[in-house]
Amino acid sequence: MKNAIVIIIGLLMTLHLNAQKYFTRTGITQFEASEKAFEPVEAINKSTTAIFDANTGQVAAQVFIAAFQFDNALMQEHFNENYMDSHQYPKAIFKGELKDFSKNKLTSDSSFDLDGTLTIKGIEKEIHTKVYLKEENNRLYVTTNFLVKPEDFDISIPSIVRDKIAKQIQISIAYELIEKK
Amino acid sequence: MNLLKKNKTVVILIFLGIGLWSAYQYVFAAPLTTNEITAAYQGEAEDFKQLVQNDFDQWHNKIIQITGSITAIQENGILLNQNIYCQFDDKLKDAAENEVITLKGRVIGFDELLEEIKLNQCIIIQK
Repeated sequence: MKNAIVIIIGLLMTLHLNAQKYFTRTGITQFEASEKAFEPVEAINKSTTAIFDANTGQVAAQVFIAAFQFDNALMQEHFNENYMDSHQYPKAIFKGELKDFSKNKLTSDSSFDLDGTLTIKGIEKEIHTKVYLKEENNRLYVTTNFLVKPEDFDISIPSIVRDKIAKQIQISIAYELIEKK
Repeated sequence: MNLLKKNKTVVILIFLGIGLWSAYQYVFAAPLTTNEITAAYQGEAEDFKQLVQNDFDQWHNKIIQITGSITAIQENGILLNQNIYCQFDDKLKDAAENEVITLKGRVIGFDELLEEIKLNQCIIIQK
């Protein structure tokens, strides 16, 4: 019995050592929804948590809505209260997988296809995009961008500001992942 | 009275100017900084951890001021009492593990991936 426990613990430990995970607490997620000739509609979030499993290529990220910083206080308030309901839905969640990822394939300009699900306000939407990934000093640098539409997540834009907000919103990410020990 | 009548246009213009100026200030104001907002909670980090267990949602987007001990130091932030991550806008200087610190920051949510309470825009009040 004792031996069995020792073996199980030993196995768990090796599994743990093999599971090479990378993460960040301070990933940058930005969005840009400006229309030409109007005030810029954009915000930056420097507090995104992301975890990447280098063995399986699986990715998980949490974007805290209240951490989006605007230049304009009123815009930030409307974003949280009217468009994103950040009290009810405090975060956006992304879960996905880098297709055919292997650490051996990493070069200074390697890219992988990312398939995943983005959940905003409890509504799921499939995302397919290309992710740029490079390794430097034992850190993984991840960048990508993709487009979403407000109506995909049941975000209605009042007609008074409809012309000032882009129909397609560009989301860009830049994460610097360190190894999780 | 006569004087006021004479300068009616001037008076109207002044009021209009003040009105426009305040409207501009309201519409284009920058968000308040952590420093400018009164903390909705002040106390020990450990007590705050207990408090949020009942109802986390009411603390979203609130500014809090907590005192706790630094259990880990990261590039842009610290871990307070093991599982409160506090992110700073500026690079952190002279912080040491086990040091007791009081800081003020915005609660942005509970991080389920790392199982931490997460604060950003933190500023050091005392250490």
